[in-house]
Amino acid sequence: MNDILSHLPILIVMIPISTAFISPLAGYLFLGWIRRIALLGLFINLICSLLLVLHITTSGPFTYHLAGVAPPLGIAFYADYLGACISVLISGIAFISIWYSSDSIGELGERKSLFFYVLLLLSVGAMQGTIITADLFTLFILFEILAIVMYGLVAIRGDGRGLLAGYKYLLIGSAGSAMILIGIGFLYITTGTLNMHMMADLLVPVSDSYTVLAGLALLIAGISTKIGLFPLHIWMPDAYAYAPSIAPVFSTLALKAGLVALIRVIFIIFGPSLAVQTIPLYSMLAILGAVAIIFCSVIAIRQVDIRKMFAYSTGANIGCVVLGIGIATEAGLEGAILLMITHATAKAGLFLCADTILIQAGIRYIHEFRGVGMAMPYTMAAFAMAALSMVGIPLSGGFVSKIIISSAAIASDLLLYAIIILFWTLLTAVYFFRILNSAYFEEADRVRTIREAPINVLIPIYLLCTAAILLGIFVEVPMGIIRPAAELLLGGGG
Amino acid sequence: MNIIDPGFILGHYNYWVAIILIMIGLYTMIAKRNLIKKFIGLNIIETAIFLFYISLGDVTGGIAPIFAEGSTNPPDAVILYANPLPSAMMLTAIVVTLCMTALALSFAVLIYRRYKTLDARRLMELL
Repeated sequence: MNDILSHLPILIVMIPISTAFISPLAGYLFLGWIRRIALLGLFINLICSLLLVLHITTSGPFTYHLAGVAPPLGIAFYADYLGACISVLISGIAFISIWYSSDSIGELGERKSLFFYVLLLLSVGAMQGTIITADLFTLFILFEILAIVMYGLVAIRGDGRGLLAGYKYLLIGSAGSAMILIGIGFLYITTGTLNMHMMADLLVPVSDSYTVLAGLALLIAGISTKIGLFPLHIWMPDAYAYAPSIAPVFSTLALKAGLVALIRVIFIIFGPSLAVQTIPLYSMLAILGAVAIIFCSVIAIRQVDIRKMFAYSTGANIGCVVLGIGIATEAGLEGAILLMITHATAKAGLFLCADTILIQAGIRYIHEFRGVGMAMPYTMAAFAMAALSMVGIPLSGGFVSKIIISSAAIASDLLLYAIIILFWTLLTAVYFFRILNSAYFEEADRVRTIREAPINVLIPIYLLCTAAILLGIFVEVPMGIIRPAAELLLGGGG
Repeated sequence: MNIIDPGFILGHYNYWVAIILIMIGLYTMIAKRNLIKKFIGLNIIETAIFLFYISLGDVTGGIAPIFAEGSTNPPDAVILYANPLPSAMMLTAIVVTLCMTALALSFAVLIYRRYKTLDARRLMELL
């Protein structure tokens, strides 16, 4: 049993990827089986992630050497608290979304839905690798796999707008990858290693050289493109709006994987004190995050397409996570990681609700939501729960993470950021309550025959939306792993 | 080490070429309106990165790092080897770039079939 447990880091990466390569064959042979195979693969993956969490909480973080070759020559995976907890988040939400997906993939047709599942599984594998690798070049490769899969997912419908959004995403994303690659080259030329932990030790004596600083800048800029941090977020609304079915859920998860990579680059490679001494990295990140929160929220209020509104809301949340990273205290980092979890859960729930409403009623613009609350009471109730968590109503998951980040800001004498987070809550309330108001309190302008979604669609939706609320009540469950994660990262990466 | 020293500049000319190529590529990506030309700009950047990495691995007078059993070199001889790791990394990066190019060109073909234009400004108005 212990043998299997020590191989979990590679298993959580390879199970989705091998399922992705087996499933098209099985899908051709037995029509309609692809979804079951994908579900099975992701279920095993979820169990592996949970086992990894259990293993790490009992015996501490550990390094896994690929093919048994130790780091100076081989590639290492580093399973720490942060990686394990985001791994459970990714495999759990991916499993629930594919469980949900039965009806909504119909629009793609049989042949394309086959490829759609393959891309979804590949993206899960790449995300799991991104969050667990300790080797910079492997990180780049997995980022590229993830990015290419995402371009494909955005454009898979093959209609004009999807292709244009995909091409825009591709151009911006590839420019970001090029920056990451040059940055890795700068760090490699200075240290002669690609392993994150070895690099961290070797960088200490040369931390003020221009080569290292340029490498840091290029890496951060490249990863910011991937996570859609404020000035580089322009690909996000179109990619979210024109991607089919459940693809935006996976896009949200991919942003979380990118954030984990950002946290690792900052805290493991450069170490908390090292980067701060030479350039004001943390205050830069905090300022960018704060601007992203305000800018994206104001734009979100003006949107009429619900998916674009979600995209800008995601942009604001990414800003708040980066703000939490920029505060760079233990509490700030804890809040940032918790916000990643609560936001991914609530946003996935919202996307599934919006997709159900689109399928059942053909509604995708906000002014069409009148009276939907009466016609689809269960779906709208789930939507309202997830929306309340996004806004940050007390007792919900979003509330706890926002309060942790704002109190961390106040504790570090950054009162302005706490005020910005409060203001952001108001702005979020404006754009979510607008939908809830017209769904529940306005009469439908014409008689429509909208049917409530079937029960097999409602179960996964309710799993996600109640989890978004329950995360706030039982916050000690995720915090049990987030606290040691933040402590380990701020202690220099262990 | 003075940065305007001609010897320094000439001694690192491959790095300067890489930087100039990256700038040309960035200019092409930003200034050109044709979708395919934009992507050619990105390909120029990637090629410059390959040049940069392969320059990293080169050692003056170094030979290919192959050590065969029964090699004619005496085991205690001092041999300069070129660093193989950057070249190996670039083989992977070339494959990645190839995938991206194939994907971008197929997108461009489909976009042209639908809209009969590849002008980025007109296309982004449609989005």
